[in-house]
Amino acid sequence: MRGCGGADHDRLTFVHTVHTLEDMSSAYVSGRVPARYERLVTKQARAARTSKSDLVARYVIEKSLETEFPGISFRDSLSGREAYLTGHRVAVWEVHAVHEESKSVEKTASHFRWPRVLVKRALAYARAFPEEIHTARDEETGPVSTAR
Amino acid sequence: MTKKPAQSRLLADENTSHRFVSACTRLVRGFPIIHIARWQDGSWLGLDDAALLIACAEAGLVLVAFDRATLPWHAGQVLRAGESHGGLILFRRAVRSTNYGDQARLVTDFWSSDGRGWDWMNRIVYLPKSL
Repeated sequence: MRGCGGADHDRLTFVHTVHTLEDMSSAYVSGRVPARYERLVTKQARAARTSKSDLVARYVIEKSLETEFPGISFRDSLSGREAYLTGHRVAVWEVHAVHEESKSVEKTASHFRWPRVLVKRALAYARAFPEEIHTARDEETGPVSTAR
Repeated sequence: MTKKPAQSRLLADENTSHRFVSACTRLVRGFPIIHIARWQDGSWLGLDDAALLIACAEAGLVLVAFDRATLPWHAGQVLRAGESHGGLILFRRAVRSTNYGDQARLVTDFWSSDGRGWDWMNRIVYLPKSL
């Protein structure tokens, strides 16, 4: 995994803007994998028009977050990679937005007709990454979209 | 049980509430809207934006959702890939997520006055139409 200084940092944040590491120290992560997986990652990096190391960094970050926050996955969005509820079409920032309006886990769960545990999982992620959630919300619903 | 009323023309995306759909049908009996969780046994819930937009075009459904910049962006990608989408009705940010009555009035009024007569293929409309 590349570090976050200088040009490497720019490349990392371009690929993975959701988890900007500007204020964090960075570290190398290395590990050996069977050759077939190295080839697979190389192919995927080429398709994504990014470097293998940036893609591996993204995979490490997202997989570790998915393990830490069960029920959360990541997908492409206009504002970068976006956390959403696995198996659903709703982004974490959208759950957070409804919760801000309703002020209640119960009412938010009722809004989506979900079990409360799904709402709690989304809110746990939102609490851990408040800046990411606000940025995603602003970029998805900001002046550009309201001006249309 | 699969809910597939023959007249459904609007599909409410998962970021809208079932309560919005209920409010629509309370305002206009038989209003042709269904929530994505009830459509095709909820099997479309796992679709990403591009796949959902293409599936809506094939099924003749207009997708109703809260405005996320990503959704129209994916609609553009679908078009550039040579596919079509079935149309989008998007609530602007001014419309609160939990104001089901307002959402229902906006959609039912617009649909009754204009929308139902349109060819929706590849069309995007924002509600309210002007701020």
